[in-house]
Amino acid sequence: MINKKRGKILSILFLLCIILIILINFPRGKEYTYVKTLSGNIGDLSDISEIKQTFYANEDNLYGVGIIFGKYMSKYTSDIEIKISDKDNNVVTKEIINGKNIKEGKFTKIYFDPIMVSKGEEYSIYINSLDKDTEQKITIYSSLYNDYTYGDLYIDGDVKDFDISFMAEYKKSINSSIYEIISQMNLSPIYLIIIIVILFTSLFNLINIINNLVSEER
Amino acid sequence: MNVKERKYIVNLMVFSFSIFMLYAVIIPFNNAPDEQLRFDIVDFIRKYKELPIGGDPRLFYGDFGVTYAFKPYIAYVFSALLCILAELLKINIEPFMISRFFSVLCGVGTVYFTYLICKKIFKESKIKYVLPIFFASIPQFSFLNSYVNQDSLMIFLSSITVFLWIEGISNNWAWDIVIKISIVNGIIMLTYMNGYSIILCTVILVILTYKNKNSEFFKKTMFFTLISLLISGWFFVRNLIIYNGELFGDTISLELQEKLAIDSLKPSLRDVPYKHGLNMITMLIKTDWLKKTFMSFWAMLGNMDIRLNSVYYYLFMVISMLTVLVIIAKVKSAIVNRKYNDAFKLRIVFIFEILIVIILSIIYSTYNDFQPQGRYIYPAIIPIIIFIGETFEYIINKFRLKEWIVYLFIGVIIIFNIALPILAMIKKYYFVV
Repeated sequence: MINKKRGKILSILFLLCIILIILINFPRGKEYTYVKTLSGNIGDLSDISEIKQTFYANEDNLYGVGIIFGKYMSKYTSDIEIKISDKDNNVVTKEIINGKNIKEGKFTKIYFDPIMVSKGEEYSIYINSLDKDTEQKITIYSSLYNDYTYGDLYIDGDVKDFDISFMAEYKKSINSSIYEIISQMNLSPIYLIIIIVILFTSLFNLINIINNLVSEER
Repeated sequence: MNVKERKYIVNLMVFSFSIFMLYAVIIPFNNAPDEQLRFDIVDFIRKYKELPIGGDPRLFYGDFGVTYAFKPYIAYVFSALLCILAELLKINIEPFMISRFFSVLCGVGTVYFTYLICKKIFKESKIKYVLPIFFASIPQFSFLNSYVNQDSLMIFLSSITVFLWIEGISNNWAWDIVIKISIVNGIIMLTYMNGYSIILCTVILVILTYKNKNSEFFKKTMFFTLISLLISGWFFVRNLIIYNGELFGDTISLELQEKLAIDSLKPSLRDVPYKHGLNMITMLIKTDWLKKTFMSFWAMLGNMDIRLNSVYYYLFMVISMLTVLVIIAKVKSAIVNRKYNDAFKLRIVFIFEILIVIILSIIYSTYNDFQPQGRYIYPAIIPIIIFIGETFEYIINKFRLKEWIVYLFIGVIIIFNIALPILAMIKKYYFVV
């Protein structure tokens, strides 16, 4: 009797762990990677006064942007300001990131309160190195050509024929996330539900049976 | 087999089926290595009801200018038959999903035979119940059993072969085992060339373990060769006729690749370590072959672009290193005690199988096409899993560790194995554009 109870408790704990890990880490946002390349760069940020990359939001609830910095083995420790503004130059967010927190070749992301109606709107990302006198170097990776045709890169006011490596994230509620998955899946949702139910049921049974078999062998 | 054990097996198979199906449902079409090229063979057989020939303009050649029609493709024939059956039964599911279903079934079969193997090897230990679940949940194994490929069938056949090895050793390779193993090895010859190492290991194991090598031994060897060739030979004879005496139509295949591939992927321009003056050893040191092969052996999904948290790989690195140490300790102990029994010989063949697939993969990456992919090591997955099980058992016995600690550890890994890749795939396929 005690063994049976122990088996059931173990099974429930086991399944709860899986469900919790999935729920806690379940994607809360949809990422659009507009340019992701390490093939070019815009030069040392200390030599540039203003960098501006414009883009159009693909969805509502824009709540994050990411840029790929390059540190070229230097230990850049100065601050960098990243500002997002809308087409009327209203500041959406302004964040200062220390060079120590920037990972070479990976998206450095900043997040802000979701903009409920953002789809189709133009936004600008401004990046500015706050320490122009530092010896250490930092840059932003860029494409070699105009990879992102819906927006432009401006360096010190001049439009360039290439873009920085950047992405944007759009917040999703758990409901819309599930809807997003189900609407694109290979089989109808009913199959998915059946598969998940039998997966968890069989796992529950397996732990129970193993517990019983082990107790019997003792 | 008592009722509880039967229940265990049913639930184990249902669990394996549902986890592989879940992967198959989540992964969008052609988001696994060469799935479109592989499915093209299935689709060809389904549409034209004939076996494809490399060079046929009705086939799809992709950016590499390659087709899987030159090499054996029995898994695709079975998949196509399943698709045709689904059509006859008017089942309204995409043909590529039906093809994936064949891989799922092979995966379930592999897990079933793994349990039978575990039952024979870990007679008294409870590890025999836990190890098959651990195996079924390994992300790369689940992934291989969820898209259109030949790997899943080859792994399934390798699990049957290992089971027959154990049976064969115990009854000195009785005729029924010889017949079964001849059929299975014959089908392996029609699947995937990496799997041929299993056939070689079968021969070595028979030579090592057959007692009283009299005329019966000769008869059985001839029978094995004859049946294996009868099952697989027709394909190779067909190839020899079609491709001007070449088994795999290498010349025609190379010419086609040169003609159809996009410039950067033409074989003559293909960048391989050998062209940079590297040999097998320096390739291992100077490239990330080892790292990528190791990672993709456990979990590097999609087109090798879905990775899990790095802690996960460190965890498996610890398990792998412990396994290597335990293998060394056991071999050393057998040599010191001069205990060269059949169990020892089986382990030696296991080690040989693991080494041979690793060496083959290194040779291929150095001289032919740099492909640091863990799935090339999968013909040896059963021996590897058995060794991991023996490591867990060794740790419990040697260090008098409380069993539940080890089982809890395995349980935690199974939780990660199920949750992490599902999350990673969902994120990659549905939340990244």
